[in-house]
Amino acid sequence: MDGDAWVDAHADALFRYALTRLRRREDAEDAVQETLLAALTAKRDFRGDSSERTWLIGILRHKIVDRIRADARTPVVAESDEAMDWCGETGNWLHPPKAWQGDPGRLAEDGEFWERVRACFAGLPDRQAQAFALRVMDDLPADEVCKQLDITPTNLWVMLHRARTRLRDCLERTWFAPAGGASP
Amino acid sequence: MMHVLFYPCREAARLIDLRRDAPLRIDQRARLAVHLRMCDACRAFADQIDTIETAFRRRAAAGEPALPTSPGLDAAARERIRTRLRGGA
Ligand SMILES: [Zn+2]
Repeated sequence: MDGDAWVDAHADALFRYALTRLRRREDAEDAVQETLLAALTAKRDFRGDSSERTWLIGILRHKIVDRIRADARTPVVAESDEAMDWCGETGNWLHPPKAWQGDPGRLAEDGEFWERVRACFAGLPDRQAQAFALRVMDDLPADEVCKQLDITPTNLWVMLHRARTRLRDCLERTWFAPAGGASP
Repeated sequence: MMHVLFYPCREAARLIDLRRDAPLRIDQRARLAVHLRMCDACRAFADQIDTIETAFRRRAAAGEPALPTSPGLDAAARERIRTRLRGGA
């Protein structure tokens, strides 16, 4: 298979995968290009024991991680801790969570629900989003995520806790209990 | 004293998340169990985190991308990549 055919068959899927994790279009485009260039050079290494798509995604993951690490080396403005605003000075809930209705099995198939998830996910700071994507979306073990992001376990736990707390809060406000809304 | 057993929800929520990524120490497990028995809000929180993660896992198991597909590459980027792959600058 040549470059043109790869672009037709895989570029969109690779781009979406990269965009979820890198979040800037230009970064995702560059990662796709680097991946296909690397694949072209390494074509002989493709053994055909996995699908071509899986092989390309594997390369893409390395390109994404390289970018995330490069980003991590440039100083970032400290992420504010507003995710933890849910608890007051006493450390207890300001707005105690109430049980959500609905079956998670159904949620997984509900396109509208995933639109909300995407909107909530877009509100996460970059590093929290990257940690959450690797740990939960890709279901990698925590120590593997630490290795890929080059961070300590404590660091990872803090980021995941903030990411989950934020997602939960956002979904509660926008999906499970919208003000005056009609969602389940 | 109440607060010795019943530490703040902030700490309970931290442990509820942490146990997904690392095994808790035995004292952490015991204190969390006590807290969860006494606190409706943290029980709801734990169920909600479960709901979110279960939804992500089922989505992955069904082979669907975790998040809805955004539009793919735009035409200009596609053309740029094609050119590069053909060995152009
Ligand atoms: Zn509590």
